[in-house]
Amino acid sequence: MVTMTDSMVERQDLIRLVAEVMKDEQALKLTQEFAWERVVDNFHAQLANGKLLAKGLPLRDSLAHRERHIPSYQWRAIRLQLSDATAQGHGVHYVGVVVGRPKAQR
Amino acid sequence: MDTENSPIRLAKRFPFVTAFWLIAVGLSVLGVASPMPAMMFFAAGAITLIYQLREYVSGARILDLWDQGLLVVQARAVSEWLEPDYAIEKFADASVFEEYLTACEQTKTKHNEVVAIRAQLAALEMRGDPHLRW
Repeated sequence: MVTMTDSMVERQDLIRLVAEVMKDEQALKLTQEFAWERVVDNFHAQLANGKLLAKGLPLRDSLAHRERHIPSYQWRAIRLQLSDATAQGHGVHYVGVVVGRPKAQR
Repeated sequence: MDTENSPIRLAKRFPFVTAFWLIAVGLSVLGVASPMPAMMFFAAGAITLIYQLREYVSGARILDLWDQGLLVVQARAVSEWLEPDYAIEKFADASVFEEYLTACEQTKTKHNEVVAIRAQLAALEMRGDPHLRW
């Protein structure tokens, strides 16, 4: 019969503990992702209701055209890509997007 | 080939211009010695111009220009334009962003716990207990 040494017991406890903590970590990562989605949704809502303004270079026929302001109603159809500063959806495509807030609304 | 700019697509968009160009080229190839081909080329250019003008004076275009004008006026009150990844941090509602930061902090703390426990396991292994060989 194999007897359990203290080290073996300690190891098993630690393995059990790490499994539990990792499960918690996964749950928290999900919470973090949902929280980020809420931040992005909030940002989009502000663009769509005109609290924030954005401008970018419309991409047509693979060419970036002269910079123009993005009308707030277009944010109902397009989505911002934070990583490369583009906004696109339903045939509309902007590159080099920048965002600002009018002073009066601060 | 880029389908957006394919000649077929452009030909479909401007059928009259295409027809004029084709007739003009055809007449040139046949060697019709008259001002006809030159006139046809000229007509094609004129029709293209009319197409462009029509696009500019259409109601949608005027409304778009009006929108842009309004936006330009509003945009004059913007003191700084930021890249979206900076703008989201600055302009997203503070409460919502705070919630996200808290979630990040909690995840980081939990991750550190995982690392610490793994380090304990590794230390146990290092002690060389023969029962603990993986």
